[in-house]
Amino acid sequence: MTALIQPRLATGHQLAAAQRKFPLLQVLVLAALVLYVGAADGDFSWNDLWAPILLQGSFLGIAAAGQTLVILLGGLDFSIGAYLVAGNLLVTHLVGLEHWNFALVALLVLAICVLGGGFAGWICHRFGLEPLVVTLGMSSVVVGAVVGSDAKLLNGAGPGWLTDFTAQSSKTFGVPIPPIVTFWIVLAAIVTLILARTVPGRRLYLTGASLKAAELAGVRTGRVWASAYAASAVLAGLAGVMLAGFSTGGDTNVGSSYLFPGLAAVIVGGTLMGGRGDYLRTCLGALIVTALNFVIAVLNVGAAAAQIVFGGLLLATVAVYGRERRLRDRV
Amino acid sequence: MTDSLMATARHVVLRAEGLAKSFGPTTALRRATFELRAGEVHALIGENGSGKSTLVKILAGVHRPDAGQLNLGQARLQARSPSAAIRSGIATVFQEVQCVPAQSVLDNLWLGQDGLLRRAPIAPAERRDKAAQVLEDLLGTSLDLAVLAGSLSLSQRQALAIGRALLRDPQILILDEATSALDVATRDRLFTKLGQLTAAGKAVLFISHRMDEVTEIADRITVLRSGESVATLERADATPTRLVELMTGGDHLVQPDAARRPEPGPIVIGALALRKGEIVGLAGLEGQGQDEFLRALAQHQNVRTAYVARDRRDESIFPPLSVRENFTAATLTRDRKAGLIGGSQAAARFAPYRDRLKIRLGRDKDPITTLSGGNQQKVVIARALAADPQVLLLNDPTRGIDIGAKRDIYALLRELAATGLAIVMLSTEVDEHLELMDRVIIFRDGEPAAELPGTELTRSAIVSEFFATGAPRPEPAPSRAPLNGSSYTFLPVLLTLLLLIANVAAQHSFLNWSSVIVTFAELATPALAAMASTPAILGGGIDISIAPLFTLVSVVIEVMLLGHGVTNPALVIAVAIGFGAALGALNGALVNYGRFQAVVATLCMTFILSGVALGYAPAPVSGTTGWLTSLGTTEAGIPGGLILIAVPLAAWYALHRTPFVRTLRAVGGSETTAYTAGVNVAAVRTLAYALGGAIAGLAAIAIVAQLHQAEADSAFVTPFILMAIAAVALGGTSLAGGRGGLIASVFGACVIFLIQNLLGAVGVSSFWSEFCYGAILIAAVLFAARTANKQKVKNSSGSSFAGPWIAARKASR
Repeated sequence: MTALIQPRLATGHQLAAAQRKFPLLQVLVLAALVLYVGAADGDFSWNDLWAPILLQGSFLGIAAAGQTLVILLGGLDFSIGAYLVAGNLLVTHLVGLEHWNFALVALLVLAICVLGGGFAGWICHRFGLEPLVVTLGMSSVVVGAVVGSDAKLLNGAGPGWLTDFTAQSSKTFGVPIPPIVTFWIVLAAIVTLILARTVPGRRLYLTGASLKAAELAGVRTGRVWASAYAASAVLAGLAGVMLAGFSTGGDTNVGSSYLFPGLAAVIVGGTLMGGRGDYLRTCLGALIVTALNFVIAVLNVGAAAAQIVFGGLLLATVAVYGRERRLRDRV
Repeated sequence: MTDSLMATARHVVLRAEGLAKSFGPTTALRRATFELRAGEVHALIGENGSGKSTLVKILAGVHRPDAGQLNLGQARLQARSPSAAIRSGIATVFQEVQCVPAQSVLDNLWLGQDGLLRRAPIAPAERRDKAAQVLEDLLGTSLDLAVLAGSLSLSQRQALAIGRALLRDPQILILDEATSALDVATRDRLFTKLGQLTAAGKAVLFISHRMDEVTEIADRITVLRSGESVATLERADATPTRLVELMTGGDHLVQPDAARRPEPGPIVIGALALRKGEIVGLAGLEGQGQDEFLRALAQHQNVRTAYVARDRRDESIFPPLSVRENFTAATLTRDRKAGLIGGSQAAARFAPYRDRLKIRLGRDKDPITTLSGGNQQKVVIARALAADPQVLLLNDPTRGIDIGAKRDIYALLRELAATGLAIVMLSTEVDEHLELMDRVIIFRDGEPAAELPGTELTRSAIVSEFFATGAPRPEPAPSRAPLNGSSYTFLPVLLTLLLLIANVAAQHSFLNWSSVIVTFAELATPALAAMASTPAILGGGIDISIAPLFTLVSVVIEVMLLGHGVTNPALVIAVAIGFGAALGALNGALVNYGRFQAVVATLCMTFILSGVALGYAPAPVSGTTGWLTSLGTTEAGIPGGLILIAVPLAAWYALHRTPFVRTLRAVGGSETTAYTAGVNVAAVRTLAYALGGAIAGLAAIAIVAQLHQAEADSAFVTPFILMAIAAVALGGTSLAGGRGGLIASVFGACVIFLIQNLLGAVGVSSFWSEFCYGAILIAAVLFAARTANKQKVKNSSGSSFAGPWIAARKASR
């Protein structure tokens, strides 16, 4: 009887193994979603289908890059939205209204992100605190401090060149790809290279896979935690700066429209807590989430249905990928 | 002769027939057959990795066998869980000391006997008497039953676990290496107790490493080798030589061959007089300080050491990563070329080790978990060797691996020593010391107590050194249990009082009756949301969907009930609580039966619930009715908010009269203890989620009573998500589970509310108040973590709500 079952099991395992190596399922889902949007609109042109999805996907993808790192580590970052808001407001106000030097403001954003993120990661590691709570707290601290210091921050607009950089009609060196999309592709290449081929990247995976084993193998896991959270904050801040060009005016709520969809992008892409996954999967996830938004717009079912579909999709993804070990295997 | 005749005449209580069990690529048990008779102590022995623990876990209902049959008396035994096994009369004490550190000795002893909501019919006085009696039998003295289990010594905690099994009055008692954590006197008292049990016709299955214990108390002995039962001997036939022969398959030639290697070289580590090319063994009973000693050597500054940890699954391997990535973990920088790590380089470095250690694997890109335990351990040793150590430190490296892999590792170690490497190896197997070591250091009472040179190494010499009497270890003074959890609520209560004073100082009208009414109306929703989040967290989970849950319920109240003219308070409240409880139970089922991570599952539910709420109420829906309006102000002269807050507190107090709250805390404190004690962990936790959902239903009533409308906009809902969890943490409930309560969360919510109110009163912008709120949240969890560290709860084996980080961090502390 076991002999009969064996071959079918084997193919199932092979498919699962192939899926672990390459996110085939995600590619298929993305293709189906994009084709559906195109077919529904009867328009497969670059300008009306591909470019808008890529453009919006790029913001989400950049915002979710940090979350990918932190989840690989076995943590969570709920302060993504706050650093995004910080980047967004400081640029729209200080550069847009007060006409500060952009590089100076960028440095300021960088400093806030490195300090805030690094601090959160460090205390989570050092005192064994729950990242969910600490990053929620940091989120309030950062938004409160940035906006509280000057409520006028809420008025402003991004500098003109940034608007060009993030506009769909802009071109990259004459090629009709929006510069922000090019920027995202370059960023994806860099993040992927760092994760897969550098010592810090490997240390991130090791720490995420087993904190104790990494510690015993000589990895300074505290530094890894602090740097990953700092990097997460910086990447979120970067997304905020980019958004300053895309959306007109600062908005303290812009963060929440990227936190949960960003988390969805990471999970749908197939990156799971503790050392499994990579940034390319998140990029796919970001495109899937974006395309799904387009489908929902096409279906004209509204934001409510969108959220339900997101929730269901996430549950399905997590059901397919790893779930928790059975209690009996933990005895 | 007559003795053995009588023994055969006794009836068989348990028969195992050809049991087999595999875990992935590892076959733990091939074919185990034995019978257990009434009135006997039956010992089960075998080397590490021979399948003893797997067999025990099958008998205890933890694992189900892949093949084979188990008969209990005449009936077939199909225990699907530890509680089923316990019900059929099998009580098991596991090797890992199972206790709930944050609960009292009494609660630990009776854990698992009560039902979900109904107490077992044993009077409290009887519980105390029986508990005191069983502990006195084991410990020789009486122990304060109110003391926290976490404050006891290792030996006392193990006595607690044994006591828990004895209180079940089992027909069959299984002790899996349960004596290794006991001090000698307690062990002797246990043996007396076992004698009483067998005299009463009960059966004992006794698993131990220690040959002396086995030959002392066992009537019959079954030997396991590589997952197979090879023989069952009467005590009279069981000489140590015969047993060793059976355990090892006879080819285990002890060869203390002094001339096999060149003389040891110069000294590498002074303290140990460790020389190049020598293999030093560390031996002793469990927990005599040899472990700490070896770890301290690993921190040695002037010598390049490499350390192979004891717990392969938790400390050595990186489960999702490939064999190659596991190999390079300690030597990442060597594969770096112009800043980038090349795969081919790592592969080239790994190849020689693969051959030398005879590592059997498919491709080195496969996950390490596809290898057998022995091959995994070889990869771990290869990782250590790749760092070119001067001294190799091994912590029981052959634990739980098959005999072939053991031989390969022995051969490798000899070869390495011959090339001049100094090796220090802790081993729990006496034979390993005889086989491998140049000299053995024996630990007693936390320090090296004796040293045996290679020429004097015999089994009896080593074992007698284990038991040579040393100074008795001082027992730490146990601390009393906090009274009703008052210690953890102290800070939030104090903060609430101080903030109340500050609020009155800033705004004298704060104490006017009219503003008190408003305050309670505004406080009700956050306080209820915080309370709703608490039960799941107490049980070691989390439900972050509480805020969208009560939003959805409020929408249901407005749109479906009030909107259709349904205003009957009994109906509205019943629908709110019932619908909330159902959604909570759905969350609980996803996490506990669907095995979704709690954060992830409830995050998904957050999306779904907010989506549904938004679908029914794209814009705020208004409406109220007489009784709801008075709940928002006063009802019979009492502020409505106060009534709403009091209802779940009263229900919680009533629940304390059932076993539920205590069991929930036990589950949150140590889920494996609760599980093996027979608690239905999934049901307890799911009920906790449902309870949280029911309280969230009340929160929905509160928000409608306060605002006279339901709103599903995310900008309105999201702050409540953060606030609820923050309030729980501020209240002092441990987010890792096991400690805390509903009242604590109310005070946590009070603190947050009063801070926001105070900042508003003194004219601070809402953004600065947000800043303060975040800073206080971080300060509170930091403070909670510090106090938890000070209490130093030992042996916290509980899991975490959201996955690896807490478990990992707990372990690393």
